[in-house]
This record gives sequence, structure tokens and C-alpha cells, in this order.
Amino acid sequence: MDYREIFSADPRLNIKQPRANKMKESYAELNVDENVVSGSDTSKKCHIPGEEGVFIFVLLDMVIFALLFGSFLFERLKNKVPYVESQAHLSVDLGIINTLVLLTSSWFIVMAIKALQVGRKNLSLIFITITMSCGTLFSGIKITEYYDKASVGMTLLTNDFFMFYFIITGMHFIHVIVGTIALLVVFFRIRSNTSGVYTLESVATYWHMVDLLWIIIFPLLYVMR
Amino acid sequence: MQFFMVRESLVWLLLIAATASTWFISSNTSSGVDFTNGSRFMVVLIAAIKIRLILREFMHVKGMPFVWKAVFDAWLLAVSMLLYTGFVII
Repeated sequence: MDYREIFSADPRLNIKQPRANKMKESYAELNVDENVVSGSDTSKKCHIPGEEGVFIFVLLDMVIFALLFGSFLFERLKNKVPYVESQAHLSVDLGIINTLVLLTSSWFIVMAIKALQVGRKNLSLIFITITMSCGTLFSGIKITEYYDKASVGMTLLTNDFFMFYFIITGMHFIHVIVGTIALLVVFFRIRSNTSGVYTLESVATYWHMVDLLWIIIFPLLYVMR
Repeated sequence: MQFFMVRESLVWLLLIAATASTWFISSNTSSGVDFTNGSRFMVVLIAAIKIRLILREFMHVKGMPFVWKAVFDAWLLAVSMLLYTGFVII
């Protein structure tokens, strides 16, 4: 007889089960995926949140923006004076507000994932709504900023600084809009139970990228002199 | 309220404090004080710390395979050096 059969046949060995096994049974009774509750695949040491392809896309996007930042700095070195003069027309305070808005939105999307992981779907939907509101607020401030610049004749064609300003912030602005739409889609999908933590984590990865790109754009265009 | 008592909330507070520091440096220099190389260095350093916090704590890069961590850190190092070189060294 195999030793495993001997042990399984002995009732005394089944009296004290490890706590982990009991937890697994509880999850099975509740019909809940253990990995979803814990938020990570416990069978793996390393864990990639959401879709790995999103991380590849995010990285490529970050490289493109890094090239744009490099081009800006390279062109700036040729003639700094118009850059410094034009920069004085930007509002640092609006830039700070936008930074705070995006940081807060990133925090709420993290909390939305945490809420969904423990099965609090309604709370997660509230947090996603707050994140979307932050995205909309950022867009509103950006449009106000563009309108202010355009109303005093500062456009893409004014000089090199404003060309870079409109291209870099414009590309970032498009990312914010795309992210807000993605959040809206994932909101309805979670509400109708057609998506879960995995999809939300993928959208959150993209949203965090939007946030961290702004953290570079803000000092690059608004602060550094 | 207990739901918010997590590590990520502390990270968010740190990010807000870091942003306030950047605002303080910026407002100090715009009110007549010269933008020194020290101020520029601090602004780049604060931005780099903020990005690393977002990458590791919000995007959970710290739990990802080594290659991913290395690639994101390399990007951050490259962009920080770019900013520092563009505004301070040259």
C-alpha cells in the first residue's frame, strides 16, 4: 500500500487541517476565485497586473514621449531666450492643480481595483467614477489653458516653444481622453459583470502612464528655467 | 474609512507632499529668487521619486519580473538624466 493511502486512511491525520486548506474550502463554498480575492496569482512569484501587452504598449508610448522631451531640450539649447520668455506665459498654478488631479485619479483607480478584488463592486464603480471625473476635470483645465493662449494669439505657429508646448501637451491630452473613454467602457463592463479585475488592472496601467508622463511634462514645460 | 488605511494612501500623501515641494521651489524662484542649479536638481529629483513611486506602488512594477523592473528603471534614469543635462549641465 502506498504511504499516501495509509495517511489518508488514518482519520486522526484529518483532524487538524492546515489553515490554508480551510481558506481554500471557504473560497470554494462561496464560489469565489482565490486568486481574484488575493489580487494576485499566488502560484507565481512574479505577477504582472492585467494584460502584459498593455505594459508593452505603455513602454513604447513612454519611449516616444522621451524622444519628444529630448527633441524639446535639444532645440532649446540652440536659442534659450524665446523659450524662457514664452515659458513665462504658462500658469504654474494650473499645472500644479492638474498634477494634483491626476495623482488623485491614480490613487482612486488603485482603490477601485482593491475594492473589486474584495468583491465590493459598487464601491469600485464609485471609485472609477471619481477617476473619470478627475480625467474630465484635467481636460477642462487643459481646454481653458488652450483657450487662454489662443485668445492672445499664442498658437502652434507662434514660435518653437509653443510648437513643442501644443504638441507635447496635445498628445498627452489625447491620451487623457482615450483613458477616460476606456474607464467609461470598463465601468459599464464591470457593472454588467462582463469584465473583472483583470480588465480594470489593464486600464489602470494605461491611466498610471498618463499620470507619470504628466509628472515629467510639468517640470519640463512649466517649471524649469 | 478603514478601507483607505492602506499603503497606497500613504504613497498618495507622499506624492501630494512632493508636488507641494515643487510648487514651493517654483513660487520661490518666480518671486525674484534666482533659479539655481540646486533648485533645478531638486525639481528633477522630486519628479524622479514621484515616477518611481507610481511605477512601483501604483503600477505594481515591484512585483513584476526583473526584466520589466530594469526596463522601467532604465527609462526613468534616461529621462531624469536628459532633464538634468538639458537644464543644468549644458
